[in-house]
Amino acid sequence: MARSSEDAGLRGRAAIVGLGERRPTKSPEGRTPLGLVAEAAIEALADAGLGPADVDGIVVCPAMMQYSMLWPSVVAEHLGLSPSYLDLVDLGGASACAMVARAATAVATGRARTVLCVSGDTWDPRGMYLKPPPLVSPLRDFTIPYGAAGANADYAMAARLHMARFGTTERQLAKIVADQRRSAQSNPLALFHGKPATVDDVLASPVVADPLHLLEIVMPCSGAEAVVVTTPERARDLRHAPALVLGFGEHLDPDPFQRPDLLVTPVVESARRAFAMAGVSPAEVGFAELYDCYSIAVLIEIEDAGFCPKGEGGRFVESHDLGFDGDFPLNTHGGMLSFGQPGLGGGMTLVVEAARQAMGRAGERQVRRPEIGFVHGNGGTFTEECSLVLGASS
Amino acid sequence: MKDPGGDAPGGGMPSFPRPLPALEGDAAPYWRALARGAVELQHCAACRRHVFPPRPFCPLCLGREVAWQEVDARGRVATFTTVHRATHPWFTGVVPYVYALVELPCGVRLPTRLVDVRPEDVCVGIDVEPRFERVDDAVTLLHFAPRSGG
Ligand SMILES: [Zn+2]
Repeated sequence: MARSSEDAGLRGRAAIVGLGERRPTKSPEGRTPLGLVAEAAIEALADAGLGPADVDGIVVCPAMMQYSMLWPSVVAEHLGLSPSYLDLVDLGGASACAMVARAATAVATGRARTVLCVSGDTWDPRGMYLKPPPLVSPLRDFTIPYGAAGANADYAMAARLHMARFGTTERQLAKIVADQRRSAQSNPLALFHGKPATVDDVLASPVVADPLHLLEIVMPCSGAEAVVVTTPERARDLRHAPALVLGFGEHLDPDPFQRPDLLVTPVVESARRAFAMAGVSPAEVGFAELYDCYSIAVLIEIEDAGFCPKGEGGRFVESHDLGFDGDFPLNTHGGMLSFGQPGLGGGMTLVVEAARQAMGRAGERQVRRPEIGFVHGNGGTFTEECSLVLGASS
Repeated sequence: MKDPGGDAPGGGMPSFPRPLPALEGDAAPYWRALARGAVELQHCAACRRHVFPPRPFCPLCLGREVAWQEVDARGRVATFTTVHRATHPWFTGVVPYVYALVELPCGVRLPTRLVDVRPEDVCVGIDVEPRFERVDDAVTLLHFAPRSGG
C-alpha cells in the first residue's frame, strides 16, 4: 500500500473542542449508564460552548451494565438531539479511539459538522455474574471451562512469556504502575488520588494471576467521558484552542492464541497507520496515553507502537521517567490503573487526557512537549486495536 | 455453557455451576473425540493447516474442505499463569491452578489447565501430554501434565 494514500486527506481535518469527564466512583451511587452518559455529554458541550442544536452527529459505545439495542438512538433521544449521523462502536477497549476516528472521518468528509463522542458505564460485579453482557465467541467454550473467564489469565500469560523470553522483570512492570500513580497525585478525579504507591507497594499487593499483582490490574468503576469533534475551521470560533486529530489507525487480529508470535500484536499495524496518516514518527511524540488494562498491556503497546524495539520494553520503562514531568510522559493523569476504568468506553478517559494535554489545559500536570500526543485503545487480548495521533493547534 | 448439576468445589457459591462447553454446534466432533480419549482437529488440505476453534471452513482460504483427523496431543507449554484469584466463582474452590497455552506439534495452541504438577515446577517450554478429565457422561475436558520420563 502506498504511503501517500494513507492519510486519505484526513490528516488534521478534525479537532477536539470540548471535554467532559465525570468523577469515577467504585459503585454506581444510584446512577445509570444512560444518566452518566448524559452528564458527560452535557459537560463536554458546555466546555465547547455549544448547545444541542449545534450537534449533528453522535457516536457511542455499549454500556456493559445497561446493554441495549438501538443505543445511539436511545442516547440521542435522551439528550434531545436530532443528529444526521449516528454510530455505535463496539470494539471493547479500542472503542474510544475508534469513536474519535469515526467522528473525525465524518466531519472531514462532511457527513456531519459537530459530533459528540460519549461513553459511560456503571460497575457492579454482582451484576456481571448474574446477568453478564451477551458475547458470542466460539473460543469462549475453550477458555472459560479451563478457568479463564475475564482477561486476567490471558494478560498474565503474555507477561509470563515476555519475562521468559526477554528477561523482563516484575519490578519493571511494577514501575509502570508506580510512575502512573505518581502522576495521579496531581489528578483529584482519580480513584487513587491521595494514595501513592511505590514499586515495592505494587509487588507487595496480592498476586492475582502470576506474575500480575492486584495493583497491575485495572479497577473497573462507574464513570463517563465525552469529547466534541468538529472541523478545525469551526474550532477557530470556539472558546478553546483545539486538539487536532492528526491521524488514526485500526487493526484486528482474528485469534490472539494462534498469531505467529504471541507477543507481536495488531498494535503494530494500528499504530503504523495512525503515524502514517499523521506524517510523524514515534520519536516525535511528546506524550503517550496507552490503554492500561494491565501493566503488561502498556509494555507491549510501547514496543509495538514503535517507541522501542520488541523485547526492550522492560528496559525502556526502567530507564525513563514515565511521570507527566518525566522524559517519556505516559498516562499523565494516572492512566486507567490509577483513574479507574468506566466500562468498555473506559479508554475515553485516555482520549480526554490526551486532548487536554494537546489543548494546553492540563494545569499542574501539563507536559513539556504537548505538540504531538499518541493515544491507544486495546480490546480483547490484543485483538482489536485503534491508535490516534493528536496534535496541538498552536 | 451447560450445568452438570455439580456445586463449586470447596463449598463456594452453589448458584454458580461449573462452566462447561456447549456440546452441540461446530465443535461437537471435538468434544465427542475427547470423550473417547482422542484429540481431533479439522485439517485444511489446501492450506495444510489445522483449524482452531472448529468451524465448517478454513479461516485462511475459506474453503469448506476441512476434515476431522486425530492429532498428536503431546505438546509444549507456550506460556502459562498460576491463577490465585478466580474470575469465575466456580473456580474459587480450585485456586491456585495453572492455566496455560499448549502448542501441539501441528502448530495449534490450545488453552488448557495443567494438572498433576506443582505451579513452581512449570516453565515456558516444558513438554506436556494430555490428561482427559471425564466430567460426566457427555463432557470430557482436555488438561495437560508434564510428560512422564522427562
Ligand atoms: Zn485453507
